[in-house]
Amino acid sequence: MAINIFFISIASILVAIFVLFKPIKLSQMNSKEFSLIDSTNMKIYKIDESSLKSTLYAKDAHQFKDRIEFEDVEYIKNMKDNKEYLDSKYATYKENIITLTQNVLFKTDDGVKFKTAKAIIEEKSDTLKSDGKFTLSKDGSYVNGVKLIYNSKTKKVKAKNIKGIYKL
Amino acid sequence: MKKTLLIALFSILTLANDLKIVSDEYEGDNKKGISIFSGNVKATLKRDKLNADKITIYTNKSNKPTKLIAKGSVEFFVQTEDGSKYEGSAKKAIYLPQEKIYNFFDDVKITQLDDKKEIIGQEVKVDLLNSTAQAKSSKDKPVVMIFEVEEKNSTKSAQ
Repeated sequence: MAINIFFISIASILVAIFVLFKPIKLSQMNSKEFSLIDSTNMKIYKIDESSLKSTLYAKDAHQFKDRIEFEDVEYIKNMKDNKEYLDSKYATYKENIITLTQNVLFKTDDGVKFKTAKAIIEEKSDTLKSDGKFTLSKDGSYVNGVKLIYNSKTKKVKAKNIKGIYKL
Repeated sequence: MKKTLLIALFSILTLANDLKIVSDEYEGDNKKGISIFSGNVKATLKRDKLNADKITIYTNKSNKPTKLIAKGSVEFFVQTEDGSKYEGSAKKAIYLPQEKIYNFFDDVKITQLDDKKEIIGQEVKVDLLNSTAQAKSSKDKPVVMIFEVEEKNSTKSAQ
């Protein structure tokens, strides 16, 4: 009789384990990514054999395996004949592509200003792209539109859905 | 409230002297100071209106327009300093903002709205400051000017 009770209780425990316990899927586990390096008030200088190519200043920076994330960014690029300045709240650098978000402001020494919410800089092709709304201005005249592509080398701009105002 | 009204009034007054342009596409060359607007281009300058398939704006170093070239199906409405109004169509138009002169080229049809005169030619120049319009012919296409003559009413003339 005691043996029966023992087997019944073992069987009950096994059934309870089978019903109540479920295996945890590894993919469902919380995979919060941790940064490898964190720094504040940092500056990155990019220098080639002859000159300083660019300076990047950020209030906060976090380096991950595949990218670097910046906060409160100022980027200065030294071109042959002038300088280009870029400010934004956030920026991500990954595989020679910089993605800027929130209050993106681009300026050049010759007075060109460009404002948008999100922009992508492709370092290899020297292009700045913005799919959303933008304002491009110079000396009081301005152009509003979408889908802007600006080439830093050639200083050529392409865009769509344009509304422009020229000061006479 | 007063400040807002003043700012609004100031904006309207300043915008009235600006060149406004709307288009589907835009290409700009900052080095050369050239801006090309294409696809349903509509330009407005004070009271003047210029629609075309493509408008190219040339600017000087301070980004002020020095020349506009409109191409394609050009349609226009212009008003001279003395208030004469012209409207019409052409295949090409050049506007010089400093001189305030329009030149229309190729199959130009222009109507002076107040005098009901119609000019058909290959080149028509409208000078906004001097309030004049001049037409030129080509070798095989002379200038045609059409006047609308009002016929006297027979009953009135009998009296």
